[in-house]
Amino acid sequence: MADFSLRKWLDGEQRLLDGERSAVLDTARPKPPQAVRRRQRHRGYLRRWRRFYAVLAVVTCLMLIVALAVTVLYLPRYGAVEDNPTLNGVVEYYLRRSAEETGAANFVAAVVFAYRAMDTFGEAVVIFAATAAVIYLLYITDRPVQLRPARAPKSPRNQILWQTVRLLFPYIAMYALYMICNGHTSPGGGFAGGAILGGGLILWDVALGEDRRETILSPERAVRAMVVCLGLYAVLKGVSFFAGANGMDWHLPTGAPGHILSGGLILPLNICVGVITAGCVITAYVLFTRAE
Amino acid sequence: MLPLVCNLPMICLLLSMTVGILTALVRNGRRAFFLTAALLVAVTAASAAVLVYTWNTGESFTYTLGLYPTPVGIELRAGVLEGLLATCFPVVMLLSILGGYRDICQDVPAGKQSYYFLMLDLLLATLLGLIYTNDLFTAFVFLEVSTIAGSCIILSRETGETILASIRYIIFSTLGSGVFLLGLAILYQCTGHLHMDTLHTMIQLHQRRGEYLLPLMMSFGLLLAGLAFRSALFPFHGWLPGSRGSSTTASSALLSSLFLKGFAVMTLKVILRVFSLESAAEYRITDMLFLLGLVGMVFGSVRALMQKDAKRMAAYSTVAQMGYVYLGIGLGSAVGIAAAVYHILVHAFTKAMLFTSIGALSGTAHHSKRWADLRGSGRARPLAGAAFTLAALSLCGVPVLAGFGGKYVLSAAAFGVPGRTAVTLAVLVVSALLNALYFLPAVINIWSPSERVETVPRDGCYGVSALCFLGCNLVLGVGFVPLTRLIETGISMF
Repeated sequence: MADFSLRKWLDGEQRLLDGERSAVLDTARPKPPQAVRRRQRHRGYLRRWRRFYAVLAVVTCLMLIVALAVTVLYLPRYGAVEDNPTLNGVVEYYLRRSAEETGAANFVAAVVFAYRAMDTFGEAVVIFAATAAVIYLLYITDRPVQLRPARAPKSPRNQILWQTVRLLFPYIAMYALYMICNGHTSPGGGFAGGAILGGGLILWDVALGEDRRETILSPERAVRAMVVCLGLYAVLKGVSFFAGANGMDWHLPTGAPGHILSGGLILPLNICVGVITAGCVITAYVLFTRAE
Repeated sequence: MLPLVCNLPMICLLLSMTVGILTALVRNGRRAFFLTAALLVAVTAASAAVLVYTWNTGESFTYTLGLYPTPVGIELRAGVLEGLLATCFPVVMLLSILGGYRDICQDVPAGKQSYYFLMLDLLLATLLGLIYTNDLFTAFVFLEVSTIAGSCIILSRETGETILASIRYIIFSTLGSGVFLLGLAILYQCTGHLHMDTLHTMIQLHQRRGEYLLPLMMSFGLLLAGLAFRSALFPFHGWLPGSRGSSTTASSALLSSLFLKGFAVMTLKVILRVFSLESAAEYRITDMLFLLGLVGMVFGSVRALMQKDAKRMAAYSTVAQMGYVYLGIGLGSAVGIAAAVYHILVHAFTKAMLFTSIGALSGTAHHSKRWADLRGSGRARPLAGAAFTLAALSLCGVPVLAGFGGKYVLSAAAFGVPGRTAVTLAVLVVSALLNALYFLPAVINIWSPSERVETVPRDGCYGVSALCFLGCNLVLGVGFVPLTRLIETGISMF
C-alpha cells in the first residue's frame, strides 16, 4: 500500500489514498469512476465561479470608469496652448518647422514618415505580421485552398454587379493612388489610400466571387509585393537613420512644400505603405471568404 | 561621426525585422531555420560588442534615428544593461530552437515552418526593440508586434487546446496593450512628450510644482498594469499555463523564458527612466509589486504542485519565478532591481533548459507530458534526464547552479531594505521548499524503472543545446558576484 501511494505521488496524483479507501469500503454500491466525479465537481465549481466572476468584472469596470473619469477632470484643458507652453513645445516645433525641414506640406505625413519613421516601420511590420498570421492559419493547411488568378468572370451571371465594378474600379483606384501619391501635400497618405485600394480590390473580388476558386490577387503575389515594399522601406530608412545619426548630409532634396516632387523620402515611403496596407486588406478578405 | 559600434543596436533591430520579413519568401523550413540561427548568432555578436564598448567607455550612448534629434525625433539607447540583455536573450533563443528543433519538425506542418521562423524573428525584434527603445510610443509599437507574433508561436501545433490558449492570450495581451496605451495617453496629455528622458524631467517638474499629481499616478499605475498583464504577474497570469502546456517545445521554452522578460525589462524602464524609484515608493507602487510578487511566488508554486502534466507544472513554476522578479523590483532599491535583472537571466536560461528537456523526455512517451507516462524516460535519454534534473535542482536553489545565484542575490538585496528582510527571507524559504516538493517527485519519477519506455534515435541538436544550457547555468551559479556588479553598473547608467 505504501508503495502504491508513493507511485501515485510520483505521478502527481492529489488523492493518494482516496481511490483505495473507496474501493475497500464501497464494494457494495458501485460509484461512478473517479474521473466522472471529478468532472462533475469541476463543473459545479465553474458555475459558481462564473457568477462571482461576472459580478467582479462589473465592479472592476465601474471602478476603472470612475477612476478614469476623475483623472480626466485633472488633465489640462483641451487645446490649452497659452496656459503652458512647455507642454506644446514638440507640437509647436512640428507646426513651425516641419514644412521647412522635411519639405512636406502635410504635418501628419512629416511626423509619421520623417520624425517618427521607426514607429511607422513598426506599424507596417504589424500589418505584415497580421497578414502572415492569417496565411499561417488559413492558407497553409493540410487541404490548401486552390486559388487561380483571374481578371474577369468567364460567364458573369450577375451582370449588374460586374458592370458596376468595371465602371467604378478605375475611379476607386485612381482616388486611392491620388491619396497615396499626394499624401505628403494633402490629407491622406499610405495607410488611408492603401485601405481604399484594398476596398476596391475587394469589390472586384466580390464580382469574380461566383467562382470561389478565382481571385483577383492571390495571397502569394500579395505577400511578394508586401515583402518587396517592406524591404525597400527598411533599406531606405536604414540608410537614412545611419546617415542622420552619423551626421552625414545624405538626404533627398526636400523640394518646395506643396509641390508633388517634395518631401524627400516621404513619397516613396507612402507608396510602400500603401501597397502593404492594400495587400493586407485584400489577403485577409480572400482568405476569410475562401478558407474552410 | 560616431564609432561604428554605436550603429549596431539600430542595425540589429532593422536586421531582425528585415530577416523576418524575407523569411516569408523562403519555402523550405530548414533554410528558414538556418537563416534564423545565423541572425541570432549575428545579433549575439553585435550585442556583445555593444556590451564591451559601453563597459570600456563607462557610459551609455543614445542613437538618433534619423536627422531629427529628440524630443522631436526618436532614439535608441544602449548601456551595459541593455548590451547584457541583448547578448543573453538571443543565446537563450538559439539554444531553445536548437533543443526543440526535432519537435518543431514534427509538430509544425512542413509548409508552415518558414512562417513559424518568421514569427520567431519578429519575437527577437520585439525583444530588441523593448530593450533598446528610449521612447514610450516605440515600446507600444513593439507591444503590438509581440501580440501577433506570440499568438502564432502559441498556435504552432493546431489543436483545440492551442486555439483556445491563443484566443485567451490575444484577449489578455490586447487588454494589456490597451491599458498601457491609456496610461501613455494620460502621460502625453500632461507632459506633451514621449521621449523617456524628457518625460522624466517633465514629471520631476510637475511633482516639484505639485500639479497633475493624480493623472501622473494614474498613468504610472496603468502603464505598469498593462505590462503586468503582458508579463503574467500573479493576478494576471490566467493566459499563461494553457499557452505553455500545449504548444511545441521551442514555443513553450521561448514564451516562458524570454517573451515575459521583455515586458519585465520595460517595467524597469518605466519605473527607473520615466518615473523614479522615489515616486514609485511614494505612490505605493513598489509596495504593490512587492506584495503581488510574494503572493505570486507562493500561489504559482502551490498551483504547480497540483498539476499532473509536466509542461503545465513548469508553466505555473514560471508564474512563481515572475513573482521573484517583481519581488526584486518591489524591494525598491537599486540592489533589489539588480537582483531582479539577475533573476531574469537565471530564469531565462533555467526555464528554457527545463522546457527543452521535458520536450526531449516526452519523445520517449509518444509526446505525452503526463508524469505517469514520463516514468523512466530519464533512463532512455540520460542527457535529457540529467538536464531536467539539473534545471529542477537549479530552480530549487541548489548551490553552484543558477537558481542558487538568483536566490542568494535576492536575499542579499533584502538585507538592505529594513522593513522587508524577514518577509522576503521567509517567503524565499517557503518557495524553495515548495519548489523542492514538486520537482523532487518529478525527478524521482523520470529515473525510476519502467517497461513502457521507447528507445529514440540520438538527437545531436538537443545534445549541443543541453550542454550549452548547462554551461550557462554553471556560469550564472558561480559567477554571480561579477555579474551582479556588471548589472549594477548598468543600472547606474540607466
